[in-house]
Amino acid sequence: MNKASKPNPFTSISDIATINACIQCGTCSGSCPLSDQMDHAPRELFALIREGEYDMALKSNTPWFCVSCYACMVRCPKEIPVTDLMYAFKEIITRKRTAPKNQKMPDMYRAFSRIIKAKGRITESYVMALYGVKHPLDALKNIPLAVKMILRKRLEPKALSVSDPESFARLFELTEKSEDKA
Amino acid sequence: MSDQTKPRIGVYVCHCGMNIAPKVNVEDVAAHAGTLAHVVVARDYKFMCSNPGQDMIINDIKSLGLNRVVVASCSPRMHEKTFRNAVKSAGLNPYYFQMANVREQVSWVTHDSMDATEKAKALTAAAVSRVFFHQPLSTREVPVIKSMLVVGGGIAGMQSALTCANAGYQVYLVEREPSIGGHMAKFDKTFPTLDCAACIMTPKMVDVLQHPNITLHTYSEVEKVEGFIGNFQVTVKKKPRYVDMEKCTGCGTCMEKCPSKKISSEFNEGLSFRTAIFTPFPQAVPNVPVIDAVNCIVLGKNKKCGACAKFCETKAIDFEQKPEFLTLDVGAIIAATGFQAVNPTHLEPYGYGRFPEVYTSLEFERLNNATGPTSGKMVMKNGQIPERVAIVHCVGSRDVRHKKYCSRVCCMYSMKFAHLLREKTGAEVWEFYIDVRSPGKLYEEFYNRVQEEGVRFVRGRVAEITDMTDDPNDKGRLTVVAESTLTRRTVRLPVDMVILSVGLEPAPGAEDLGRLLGVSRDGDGWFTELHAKLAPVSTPMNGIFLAGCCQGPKDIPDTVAQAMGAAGEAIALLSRGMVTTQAEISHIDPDLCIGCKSCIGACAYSAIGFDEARRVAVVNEALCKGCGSCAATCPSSSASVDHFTDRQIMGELERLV
Repeated sequence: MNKASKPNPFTSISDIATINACIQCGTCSGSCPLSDQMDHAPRELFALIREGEYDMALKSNTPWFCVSCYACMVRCPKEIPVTDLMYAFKEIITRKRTAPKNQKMPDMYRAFSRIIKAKGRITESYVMALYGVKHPLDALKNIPLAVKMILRKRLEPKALSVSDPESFARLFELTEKSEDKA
Repeated sequence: MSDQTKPRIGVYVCHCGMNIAPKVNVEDVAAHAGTLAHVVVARDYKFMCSNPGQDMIINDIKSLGLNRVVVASCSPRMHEKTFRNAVKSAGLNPYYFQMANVREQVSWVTHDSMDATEKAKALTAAAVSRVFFHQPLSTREVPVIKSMLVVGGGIAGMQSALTCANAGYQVYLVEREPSIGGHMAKFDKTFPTLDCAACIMTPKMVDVLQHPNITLHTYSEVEKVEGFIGNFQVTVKKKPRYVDMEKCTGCGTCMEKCPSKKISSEFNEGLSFRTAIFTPFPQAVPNVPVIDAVNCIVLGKNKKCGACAKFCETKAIDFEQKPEFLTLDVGAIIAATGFQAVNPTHLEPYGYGRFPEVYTSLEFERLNNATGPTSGKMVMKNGQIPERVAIVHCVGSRDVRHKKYCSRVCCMYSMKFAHLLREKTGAEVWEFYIDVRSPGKLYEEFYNRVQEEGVRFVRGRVAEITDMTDDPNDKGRLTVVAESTLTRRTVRLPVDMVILSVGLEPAPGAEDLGRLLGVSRDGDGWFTELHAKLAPVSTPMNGIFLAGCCQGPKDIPDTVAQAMGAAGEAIALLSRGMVTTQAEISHIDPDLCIGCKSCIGACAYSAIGFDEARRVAVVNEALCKGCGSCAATCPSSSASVDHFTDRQIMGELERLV
């Protein structure tokens, strides 16, 4: 390892080397409908990573604003999979818990995967309940809507499960292990 | 063995500075070679190709009585000639030499030093056992035909033709279009000096036409190329013009009278119309029109018209003309087929073809040209002068999905457009660029000049061009969307006109010509030069040279320089007057030949004929390239290639397997 640089937290991303080919043309950021909201739009985020500014990249709000419209990826003249990279960034940022303080999406992601881990499938009401532990106001705001939906049989109040959740949990564990290895 | 003496072999292992020695244990390789049968001496030296290295070989031949030499060094392509000459100067036949490639095939490509040394030993030993079977060969000198062919009549082809013609050689210039001039004839001004293109171009076109040593064949294409360096036979197809070039005076009455007037003009990039009988542009050379057989009422629709013939005072119109085939004997060929501009229709976010005010750079060249569709007025389709113009760089270039390379000329011509727009219309001009590339004499100065003239430069590749406007007052204008990467914000700029600075790609037909000439093309379709740095106008096909954009994107100064370079190489060949045929050619043993003719079909150079009297195949030694197809095909083993005989190759292989 180069003594002068900090370790790159993004090396586990399989396509991360593609950003080395970036010519900083700005087609991605120019195509992005939400780049005005981002602290470092995609082009700049890639530049930060290449310059070794990993802390700034890990704290960036950019991936959380990505709406997966894929305009950046379709237009990139170097075929960098920009949108795919945004997903990979989100995963690493969630694991490292470096997202901006006001960013609620990592908690939603965690609620989502916890319920899958336990039951093998999701039930919206339980995702919201788990998320509500962290952000009670958001959850409370949604209660009137939830009640209406339950009455119209559009929301399942009971936690559903796959038939053999133990086997599924084992599968989940194995997958996590293999990801850690990679 | 042809000579009666016992083989006495000398082996020389080269360090090649830091190229071979750090990976291959050269002392070991030399020591191992010293133990092989018939090896009299084996040495290693820092640079075998240097004068002291060659002298070492020459001295050993003389003092130790060597009669075979093996050098283990770089690729034969690099230095085989050098060492053959050294062997020859010591009085030995140069073909008593064999090279083992321990650089490209060993030290550069092997990780482990032990492996590398073992492989180098094996290759050297194989060369030793091959050279044992070598036979003396000789070359012949054949005369060179003192004329040449130039394919393509743009600025590159014209310049090559003029230089060769001025040197006193007969030049045939073949151009596919009805007029010479190429792309440069479409331009109004040229960067960075803003020379008027027509002013510097038309005199050259006339020179080409009037030069006593140049024979011009316009509206013609190369159909077939046979022969070899110094002795090519080229078949040229002269497409029917339907106008007698001898009788036509170029008065233009036919074009006035032609009733088919609504044909899209290729020369004006489809921005205006032409007639079915036409010259591409007023200064065309030769100034003789052609009839476009598809759109002509008589030729295309088989109906009655003949207006042109009726009004032609010299009776030059000839609807019965047929294609003519000419055979030209030339000593050298220069390919100068140029480029075509990338069609941006498939770059959908830029809206070319959907929005009328999105132009390609070539279309804008014509808008800007006094002989163009607007007589040089830079106006929109509605006749009004644009107030704000965006110029989009790198359209189709620097994009791995289209052309991965930089087209080299777009930055400069974009800035030329910006200058001309500022000067002629006073419009606000915005250049959207990724990097400004201005590496040329007075180019950076031109960039600075344009900046000072108030052209705005935004660093960012355009993401899209849309007709959706943010402000209702801008309805009808186009919006250019890009990230201004230096201010980190998204620019949404309403403009009246957009110019797409499209890149360059090889001319249509380059593929076919490449096949006819035997010249290979790179991954992007450009012709491949022999060596990127040291032989930029030569090709692996001896006697065939490259000029201009057919070898890669170039601006006019570089094109003219390369055209003169190619001409220089061709003149050097013609003035030498003789070429040496290669010694490694094929032979067919008439006693073994069964007359099956399979070799005749296999020969790519048409070098094998058939002797009907003896019923055997015969090799034409002047045409044979020694490729070995005949030897591989021959069912009776009667065909063999000198220097690649079965005994020699098996001798080499026995050591390796």
